[in-house]
Amino acid sequence: MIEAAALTVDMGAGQAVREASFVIAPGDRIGIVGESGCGKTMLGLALMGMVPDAGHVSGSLMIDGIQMVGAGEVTWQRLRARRVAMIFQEPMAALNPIKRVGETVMEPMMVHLGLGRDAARARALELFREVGIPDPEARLRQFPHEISGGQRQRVLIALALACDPGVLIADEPTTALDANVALRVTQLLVGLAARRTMGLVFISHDLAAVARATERVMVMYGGDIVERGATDEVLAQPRHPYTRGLLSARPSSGNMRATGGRRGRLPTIPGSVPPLAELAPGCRFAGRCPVELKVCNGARPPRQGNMICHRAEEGA
Amino acid sequence: MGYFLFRRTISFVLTLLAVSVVVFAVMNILPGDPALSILGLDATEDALAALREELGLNEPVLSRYLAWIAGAVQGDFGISQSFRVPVSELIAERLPLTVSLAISGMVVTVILAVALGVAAAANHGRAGDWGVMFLSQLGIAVPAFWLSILLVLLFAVKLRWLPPGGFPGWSEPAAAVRSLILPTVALALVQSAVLARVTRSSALEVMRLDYIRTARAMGFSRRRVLWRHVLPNALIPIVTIVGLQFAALVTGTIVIENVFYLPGLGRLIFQSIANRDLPTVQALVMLFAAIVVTANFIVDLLYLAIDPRLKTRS
Repeated sequence: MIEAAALTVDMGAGQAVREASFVIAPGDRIGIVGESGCGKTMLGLALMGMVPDAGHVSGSLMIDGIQMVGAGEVTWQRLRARRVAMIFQEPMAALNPIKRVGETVMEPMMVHLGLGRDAARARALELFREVGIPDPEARLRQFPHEISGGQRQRVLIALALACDPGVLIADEPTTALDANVALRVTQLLVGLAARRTMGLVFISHDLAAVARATERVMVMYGGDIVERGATDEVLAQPRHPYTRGLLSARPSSGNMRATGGRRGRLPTIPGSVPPLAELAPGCRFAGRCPVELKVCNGARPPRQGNMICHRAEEGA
Repeated sequence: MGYFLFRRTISFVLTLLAVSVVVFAVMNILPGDPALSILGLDATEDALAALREELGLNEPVLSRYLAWIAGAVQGDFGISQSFRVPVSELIAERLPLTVSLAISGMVVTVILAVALGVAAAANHGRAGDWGVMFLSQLGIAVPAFWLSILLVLLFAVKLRWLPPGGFPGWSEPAAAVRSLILPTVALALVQSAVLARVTRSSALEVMRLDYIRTARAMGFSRRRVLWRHVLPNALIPIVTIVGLQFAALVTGTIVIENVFYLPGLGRLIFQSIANRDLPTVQALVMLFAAIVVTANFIVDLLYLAIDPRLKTRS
């Protein structure tokens, strides 16, 4: 159970996450979407207490009833893997290259759960089966370079599950994988969350994967959660101008119709996410927003219902 | 793996063969007449000629080389011209001292350097890091013989804790060990200064990698991440430098044994060169070369033990 209230990560140059508030209950599946540099990963790291040294975390973050803002490294070490676990984007680089993958998965169980080698090996075997690794006995003895990217991501998922965490944060878990493998990894994560009543935070810019993996979604831009809601509603009827931009910028039959069925250019959101120091003080999206008002650049937009936008009352 | 060993053994033999040619050629091209240096300037021309004949110096170079190699393969390096005993005996007497010195120097170097280097990396950018970097800069700048003299002045002359030099022989183990402490420290301090820097930068490089973040995300303590995940992955450059340093340590014993009056191979090679004792010098240079080549061979084997990825490639 994670409860964040006005959680802020200040990197010195600017706020990478600005006053994020949300609750992740057991079994919840929440997506975080947005372009690169919008604070998605930083938010994930904040939930692990792994914000870089330069970052300062403020606000409130309760994990299983413990206030973790201001908690020391040792307190975090007790929570990681056991309460909150995280898997990262690059399965190729995320595994220790000189350890057999079985040893890697056994290590947290031996360190945190006090299991002996045999017990840890048996559990690792079970986990490999659970995450759908074929021929798990043989895999245990292999090194990361001997198995495929999809298998490595499954090993990382098994590793993250080793100490039975309440919440699993998956940061772009499918981005480095080809579409077919990505789909199966997504399905695996959904199945695991359901079977274990485990919270799942699915960070991605792949809207299709988020649609499949999650029930609720938070759209981030410039460190703000600009829109949130049930995944199917947000994706079907986006209200925030940024969410609309994101949705229109992906290939779909709708886009094709808009160009009369001819091969046309996909619409894009003009410009790119500015560096932290150059973010607008008011609405972060000011400057790139197609429906900008005079007030947008100067004043912070109010949070109204499920989104943060000056035009919320007009339905944007 | 078998192929690798086979290839390495071939290159081991070829390297030693090349060394033997160079050593033999250099020793025979160098000016200076061994007969003259043995008998002295007052020797008569007849006596010199007789000795040259006895030493085989009148034979063609090639047949002398082949005869030398044939003997060397059987462990016979001829008779030392200055000591008048078989070279192999001279070496056998002195080898244990030099080998003990080189190995203890290496062990102290590795322990000191890895501890300091990892500590510096763990405290990157803080006082501990700067302290280690400063000390290692100092250690690199100081020549070993000068450091030896300082150590003798402080610990032997001033504090009288340790003997200033000499070696009592292995029959008195405690005294023997005591007399090796200062030379070992003198050898190790300079080498560990270099190795600590290598360890630090290699560890820092590994600490940035994704799998270290994974280890941190698994809630492991900083110490565990450092020693179980960072260090093993940082070992390849460390082992490479250790291999080179072992060679430097073995040759470094030449200086250190002379400063501390230790009867080892380093002192022997120094004396034999001064005496133009050709058979002894040739044998010792070959031996030093063999030690260096063997060290490199062991380093290559360690690579395979450290990084499983290299096994599939080789």
